[in-house]
Amino acid sequence: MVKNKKYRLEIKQPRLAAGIIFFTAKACGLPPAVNVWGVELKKILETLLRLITYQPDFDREGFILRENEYDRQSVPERRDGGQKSPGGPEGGGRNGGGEGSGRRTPRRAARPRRKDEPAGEAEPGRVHSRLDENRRAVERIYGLPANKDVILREFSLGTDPPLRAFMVFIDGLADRKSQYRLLENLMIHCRILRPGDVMSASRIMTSLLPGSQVKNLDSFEKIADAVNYGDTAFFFEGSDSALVVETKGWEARTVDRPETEQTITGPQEAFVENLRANIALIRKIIRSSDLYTEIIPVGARFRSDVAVMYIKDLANPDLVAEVKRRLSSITVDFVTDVGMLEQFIEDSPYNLNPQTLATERPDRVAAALAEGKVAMLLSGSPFALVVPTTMFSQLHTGEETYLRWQYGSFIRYIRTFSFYLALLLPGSYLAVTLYHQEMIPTELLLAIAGNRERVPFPTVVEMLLMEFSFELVREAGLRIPGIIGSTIGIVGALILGQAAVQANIVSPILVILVAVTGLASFSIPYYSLAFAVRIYRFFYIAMGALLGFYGITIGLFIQILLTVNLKTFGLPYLSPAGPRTFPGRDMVGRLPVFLQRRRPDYLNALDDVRLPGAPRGWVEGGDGGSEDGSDR
Amino acid sequence: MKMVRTGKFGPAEAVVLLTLSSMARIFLTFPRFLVEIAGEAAWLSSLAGLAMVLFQVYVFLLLLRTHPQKNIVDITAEALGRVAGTAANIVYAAFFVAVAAMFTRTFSEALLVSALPRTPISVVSTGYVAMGVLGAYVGLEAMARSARVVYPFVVAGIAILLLALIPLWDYTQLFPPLGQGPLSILRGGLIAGAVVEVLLAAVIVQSFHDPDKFGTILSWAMLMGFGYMIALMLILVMTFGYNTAQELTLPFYQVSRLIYLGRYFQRVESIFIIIWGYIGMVKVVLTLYAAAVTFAGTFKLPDYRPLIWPLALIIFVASLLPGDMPAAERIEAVVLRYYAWFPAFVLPLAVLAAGRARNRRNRKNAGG
Amino acid sequence: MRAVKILAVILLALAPAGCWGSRETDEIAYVLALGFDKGPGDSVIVTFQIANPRVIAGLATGGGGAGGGGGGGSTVTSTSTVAALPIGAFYLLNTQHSREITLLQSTAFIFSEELARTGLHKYIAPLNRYRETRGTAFVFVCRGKAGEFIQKNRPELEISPSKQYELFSTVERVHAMTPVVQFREFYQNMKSLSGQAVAPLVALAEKDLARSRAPELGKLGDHVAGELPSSRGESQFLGTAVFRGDKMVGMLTGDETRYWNMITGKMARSFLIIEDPKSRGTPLGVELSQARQPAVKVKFDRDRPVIEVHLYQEPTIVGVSSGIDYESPGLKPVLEKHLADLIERRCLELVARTQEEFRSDIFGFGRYARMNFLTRKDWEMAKWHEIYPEARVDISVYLKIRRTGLMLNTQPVRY
Repeated sequence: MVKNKKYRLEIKQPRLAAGIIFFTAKACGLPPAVNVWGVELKKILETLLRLITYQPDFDREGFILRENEYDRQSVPERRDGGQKSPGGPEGGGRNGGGEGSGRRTPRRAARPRRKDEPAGEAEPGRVHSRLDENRRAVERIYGLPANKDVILREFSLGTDPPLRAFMVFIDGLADRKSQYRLLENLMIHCRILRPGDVMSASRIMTSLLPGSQVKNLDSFEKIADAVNYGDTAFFFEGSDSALVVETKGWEARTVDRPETEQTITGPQEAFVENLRANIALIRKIIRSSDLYTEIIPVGARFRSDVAVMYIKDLANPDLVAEVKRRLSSITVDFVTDVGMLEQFIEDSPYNLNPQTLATERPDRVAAALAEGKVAMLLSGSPFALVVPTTMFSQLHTGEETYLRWQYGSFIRYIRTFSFYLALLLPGSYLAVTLYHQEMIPTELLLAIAGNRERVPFPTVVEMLLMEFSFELVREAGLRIPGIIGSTIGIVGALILGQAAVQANIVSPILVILVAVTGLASFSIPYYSLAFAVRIYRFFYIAMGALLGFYGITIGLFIQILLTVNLKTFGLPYLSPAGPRTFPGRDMVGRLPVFLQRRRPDYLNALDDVRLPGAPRGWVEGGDGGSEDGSDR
Repeated sequence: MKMVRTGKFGPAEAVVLLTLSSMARIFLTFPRFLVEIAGEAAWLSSLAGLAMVLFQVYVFLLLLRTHPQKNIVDITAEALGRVAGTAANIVYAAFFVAVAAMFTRTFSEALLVSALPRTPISVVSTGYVAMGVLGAYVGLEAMARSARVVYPFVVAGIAILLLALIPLWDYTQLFPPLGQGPLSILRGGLIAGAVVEVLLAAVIVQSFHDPDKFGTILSWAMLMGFGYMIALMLILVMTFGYNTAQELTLPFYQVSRLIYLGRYFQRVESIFIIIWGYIGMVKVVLTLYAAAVTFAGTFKLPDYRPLIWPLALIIFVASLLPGDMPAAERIEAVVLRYYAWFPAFVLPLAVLAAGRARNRRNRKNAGG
Repeated sequence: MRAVKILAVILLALAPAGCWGSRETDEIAYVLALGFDKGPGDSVIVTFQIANPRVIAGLATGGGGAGGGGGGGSTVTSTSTVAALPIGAFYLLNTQHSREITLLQSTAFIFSEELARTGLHKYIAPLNRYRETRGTAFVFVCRGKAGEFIQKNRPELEISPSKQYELFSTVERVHAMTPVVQFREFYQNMKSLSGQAVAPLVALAEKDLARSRAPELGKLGDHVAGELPSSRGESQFLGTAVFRGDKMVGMLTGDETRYWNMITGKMARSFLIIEDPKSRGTPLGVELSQARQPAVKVKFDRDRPVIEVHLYQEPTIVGVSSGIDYESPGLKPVLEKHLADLIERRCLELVARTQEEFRSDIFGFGRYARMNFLTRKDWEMAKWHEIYPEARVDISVYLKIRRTGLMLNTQPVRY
């Protein structure tokens, strides 16, 4: 008790409320063990109070993708009213979007990138000129007699006099054949050298080692990084540097068909877990010297490489800089998949909508790069992250572009419809059957009502039951091993539905409804977006059951407001619909490719024009006789 | 002084936002009132109202043109001096609060009458005020974009509604063409022309990307808003006729109840609840935001957002003050619409005159 | 994101709202049709036809899904209650039925003739105010007791009577011998200055085929509901109840209703059996269809209205029992003239009847008369309902036989 009193004396205003609650709880006869709870409660209350009290928040906008010089020139009517003022309005009129604030000064990223590497006793080790020292150092770094993966092989060069050397590699990561050839060269073929030549590491590198990628390194840290990634390090007596030869060659999956983004037409390649192979897959499509790949290491303890790819003369330099800034600022011990990376770099982690696009199709990445977007690939992850992304591009698959435009548009309209179905159908059904029965045709309503007569639950419970079962079937179908998984999914759903109807647990129309909703949510091409929709759906079920269509309206109002307020890498998430910009004829409907003359306006690419001149040069007029050849 | 940034939006978004806002009243009892006053010529009244509104826009344009970087709050404070200016600004803010409260109440009542007869009104009002708070808090930029995203659906919905009624159109109901007579038409125009949007646009003008286009944006918004109103007036009178139309509580809703295109396309009025519910929320957001911004501007506060909570509470309580629905409707149609001319037109006119006078005096002083 | 947190708080605030106002479908009794009869004193007897969803969904026979309507009880049930106001009857009804009564799905309001003759406003007005009443429901006037009609009306082809009422409005396009009146229209006309209300007549059949008289040529369906000779002892939808204000003042037969439909432009198709102009006493069948909407003009000759009606018809020859080839260019005008004269004469008779007998402008000519006035005040001063009986009505019929069915020529019978 005494302790509590003291507490009450020292607390400030927000805590006072918590204290009051706490004492009320006490008064209500709760046992003293609630003490811990009291503290927790206080924390919650403080958070609540912080929410509803005022806190100045002057700069609400982070990075904004602004228009570049090219765009500014192309919009002559732009006014520079407030441009002089620091951080004044900067955006152009046409972009329409929230360019209200200037770019914030880059936050001094508190970057506690750990410089003290784990092997503390090896010290900022440089390679010693004495081989034994080096050997001891390597043994220390890898804990050698105990660590059985790391192979240290001693040999001597076949020169005259023989030069002692050893090589270090990790078993399984390095390719044996190329190692064998390296050793062969060093031990046998080097007899061509005249005796008495100075055998420095650099000399060996230039004339003796046939590897295509050889680095001359003198820091143990860097050497270890390379060896850990499958390279082989050679140390020579008398050289104060080591040669690191690229011998990466572990067992890996070969390039396969896409698993999660299947299409009928178009390329059928998917990324694999190998970064180099993935980059090659993209480069193979975009054969340009302007395609840049920058490697940024992430992972403080266990290093991974992130490849940032963009097209130099297309991608907005601000965007590239922002991507690099975010990537280099993150602190994480290790990253295995782009999914983890995404969570570190996205703008609003608390919004449900995914703000990056993860794809396993190189052709989609290439198409995005060609629009001026930036892609990130992570070593060991078979997905690429594309930023910035809009909701519309998350609803595209890339396949529509390969199909003729009528077919592509048709698919997209179906998909848009199914997006709304997946989001709103269960909620609207509840709203209609609970509040607005007049909307249902009489016969249908009577059929619904009749079938419900024997169902002992309220409609909401029925709906939640079915939705939950459906999610269960979906999740179980994923986890059940092997081929039976998918079969069980479908059969399970059918049998479950049928049995539930016969047992009068749910009404038949509800089974149809949930099944249609499920189908609709499967037709959303992007996995993360489908997740968001599935979760939002429960929100709409709650709102529809609470307040009917008014509840649905509230839900829509909130969702649209928050979604429209969302930004991905400085780009409004719903562009080009909100804010309205020039849509590029590739939003929901897709116009013929030869009419898509410009890159999406909202990306503010360096070069706006996609198809200069006459796209269909063989036709008179050059553009397929479109009603308006000029796009703007 | 550092002001909070709330983002900016382009002309298209601004037009749509103001259009939606000005459409709000056509979903309520207002058209009924207009029919009662002007009879068959209710649509002519709307036309007259449009003319008056355009004149209002012109006055505001004159007012804002002299001070390009300022909104009406700053201009009023400057032109009328500290005491009178502050008082005038408080009148503006009170006007916004009154409009917000009135719309919260009437939209809630409308919802109760049409769709949720058993839900307590406080729940529905809470929904509107809560959405108002959320929208005003997130800011006008998101609100404008959201309006722009929703607008095609609103247009499609209204178009479906009006076209589905084609079988019921009876053009002879529009006769006699002058309805209750020219004087009544003008009286109706006076009421139809009392809109909050002009003043509202002058308050939020700094959020426009091009404040210079104030006149164009506002004129377009008013043309579109009144376009919808005229269309609805025509269709209301054509389908119901004067005698029945002036009995209706919620003309828009009751018109939508009449849709009957065979056995399968009928009784669809609940769909429209989504549309007018949304528009009601936009209206509450805008007026609440404008009230908060006006207060913040009057008292030179750096941020308007702390004001949202208390204002929302005031609006919520005020919205529950009228005793019954006819009383709320009377207050809306008679009191507010007539007195709206004071803050929305007379006061700005006074500001304009005072500003001119002051300028002239300054010039004279400078010259002499 | 801060907004999300705020949202959570708002949702928490909304959660206690509960499901106020939500009604499960199995807690409601859906009224499909309402019948109104005169009760003791000033009261009204309201008969409710309530759907039985269990039977309609095929669950009544037990055993789950496969029931299929066979003998598992009726799809509808009806109850009558006495109350001073129709709406009050619902609340009384809830003391007898376990379920809440709703009018949201009701498709027909049936008033007995007795009630209609005493004036309907006091029954209609509360219905119009009540939010569950649909403006698109159909209004009928029943010869005899409405309650009895509802109880005995058991459509064999339809599962629910509401579909029957709706389909009658659709099938009207084929014969045009009954008006189709929605509640909204009835209510509007009841209050209108420029037209009067009508309502279709319904009744249970009284006469059987054996006692029928020979049908007169030139008329088809010259009966009111209930009197049409038929073997079916069931409901009939035929003819028109004519109102003046809210009071019923008379009836039109099915044949007369056709011409009413024609003048108001609501007739899509109809059938007519006329006397063959060349061969007396032989019937000749034509299918009438409207070429375009009739043109109506109203002028004022001092205070007397002059109404001009132009009707445009395009009949098709359906059956010529005399064997005369009316397809030939020479004979076609003869038939056209004969038909046009007949239509004109019957229309004029009908108009005269409304002017003299009913004194009620059921055609809505006032709507066109309105165009002669500038303001509402002038129009109200004109007192259309009082001057209509004095109006002069000219009807001209423009008629062209466009098609002759599947025969372009007729060969006589040889023997």
